Amino acid sequence: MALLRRVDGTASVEARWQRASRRSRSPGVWHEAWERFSRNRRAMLGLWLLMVLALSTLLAPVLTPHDPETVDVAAAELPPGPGHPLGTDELGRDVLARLLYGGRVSLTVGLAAVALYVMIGVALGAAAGYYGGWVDSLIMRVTDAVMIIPFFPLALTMAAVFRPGLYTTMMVLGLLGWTGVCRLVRGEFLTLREREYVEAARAEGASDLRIVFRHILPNAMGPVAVAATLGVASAIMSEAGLSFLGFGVQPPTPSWGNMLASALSLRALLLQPWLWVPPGLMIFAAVLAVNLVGEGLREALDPQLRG
Amino acid sequence: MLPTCDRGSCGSETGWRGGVVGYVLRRLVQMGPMLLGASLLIFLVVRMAPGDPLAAMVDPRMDPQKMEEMRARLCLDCPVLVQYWGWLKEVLRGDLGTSIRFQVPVAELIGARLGPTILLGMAAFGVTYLVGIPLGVLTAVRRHSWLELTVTVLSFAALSMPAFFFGLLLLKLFALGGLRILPSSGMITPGAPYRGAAAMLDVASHLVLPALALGLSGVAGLVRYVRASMVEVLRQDYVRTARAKGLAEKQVIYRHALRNGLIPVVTLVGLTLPDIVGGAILTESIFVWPGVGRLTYTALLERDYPVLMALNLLFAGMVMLGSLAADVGYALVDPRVRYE
Repeated sequence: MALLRRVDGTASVEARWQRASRRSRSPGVWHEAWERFSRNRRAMLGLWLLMVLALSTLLAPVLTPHDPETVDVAAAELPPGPGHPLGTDELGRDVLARLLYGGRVSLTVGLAAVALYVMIGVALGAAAGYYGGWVDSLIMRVTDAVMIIPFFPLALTMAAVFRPGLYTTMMVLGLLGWTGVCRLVRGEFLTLREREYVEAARAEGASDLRIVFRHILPNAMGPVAVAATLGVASAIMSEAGLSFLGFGVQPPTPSWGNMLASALSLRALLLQPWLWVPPGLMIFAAVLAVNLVGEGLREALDPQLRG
Repeated sequence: MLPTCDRGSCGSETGWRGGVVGYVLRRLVQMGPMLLGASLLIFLVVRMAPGDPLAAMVDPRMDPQKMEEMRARLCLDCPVLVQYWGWLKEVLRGDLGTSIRFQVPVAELIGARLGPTILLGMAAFGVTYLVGIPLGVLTAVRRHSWLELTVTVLSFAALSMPAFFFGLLLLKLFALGGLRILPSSGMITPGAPYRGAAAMLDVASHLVLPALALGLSGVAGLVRYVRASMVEVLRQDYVRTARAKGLAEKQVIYRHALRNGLIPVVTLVGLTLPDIVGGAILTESIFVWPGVGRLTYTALLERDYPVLMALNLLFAGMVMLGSLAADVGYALVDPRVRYE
């Protein structure tokens, strides 16, 4: 670059041309989307809130000296006070520690479940939309069958049939959640596969895999990213629901959902709000943050939507 | 599935009244294969249960020879699809099996609990629509005001609030701790000699908290939906005409815009039904409401598989009928819609 720089400091024509062409080749859509996103105060609020939540769960060992699973019956059911900022539960475990480590569990389950179902949904939706014909009808019939059974009862049934636990929860949410993404990707593929640039790639002899992953999929990722983000919010909510009823993450492993289950005892509900109000608020905050980010992303990727 | 058409192109048709029966029948026929697929899926999910299904079904102290007989009779060693066919035949004949836990026919068990759940579901819809529609209309009419900002913030909050956490808060604030003005659990006051209006009032007071908890989650979606629809309608030419001829703004909004703006809301009933079904399990568990949601929870705890299979099937059927009803309702209120 230095060679191309003139003595007076202005860039040469070649250098300017190079820079310009580099800019146009960079994925400009995402860059523009970020610019819109960062100007959206609501979305940025969600992003900050999410980062604070994620960081506080990551920094759990720094923020509390207690172990989330260590039982100390002598210190059971202490109200919030020195040593235990959020009190202790019926086994003397520190509630703040369980809240922070439980956040790791709840957020991880949400992310893992969505990662799993985005993979399934993209693969099936791409196959259905790209190949059409009997592949499409078969996949869409399966999608219909999964879709018409209400999600939560079926998830509970599946979790109860397998042994409930951390990995079962991720798997169940992942295996049942993909239908929305599948239909979305299929729809995008149906329109995108008719585009001229896809035709051109095909004429050049590109393989199906190359066309799908290199030419079509990147252009279909916007709506998928939005759906996935909003999906994390509902996955966190579903994990909480499953764990609350006892069919999700199992104690002693803490999760926000199974901590809330302590409120099913009348005594805890009435006299020990420190056991169940904080995890409820954390679920609320996490879901709110992810929803704000998701909506922000939707508006950023499709500015016409903003009413 | 329900394309709209302008009057020019379908004015000569027989209109929706002629087509409605045929349309409903066609939809019902389409639902057959979908329900069949759903039933296969439910069957496979439950059959994936590790361990011997027979061991879960009977008393383990049973005579081993009898157990073998039962195994053969239930065809537990047959291929999965043969087993599925056997189960399906029973279901189609109206026999949903026998509950392992209660030892009574599943259909009887569910039938006794369907009423309370339908009551709760309707009340929850009532809450959603009574709150959601006015807020949606108001935010559409007064755009860019502090009111719109407040409602937007609140509906984001409602959207992110777990219904069961909200239910627990309601329970603590209005039934057990705090105010103690409403009953905390069940559908009737046990042992109370209420008759007629007093009995209805008793049920209504039990209904308030669970309906609030269950109805809240739908409010946010509805507000957004109504708002978008109203904003769209308020842009139309006929609204401008109504204003231009000097009608009061109130009349423009409530007589002209509202009627058309609320049409799409009908379809939302069908779309939110799965959430209501899912939410009912949590809500009924918290408020000990004697409905199918609570039954689902009990059946899950007991691994009562025949009951669970029947419930999932029932929920799928309810959701499909709900979406059909929504589509038919949509056409009933909007004459521009034609059945195809």
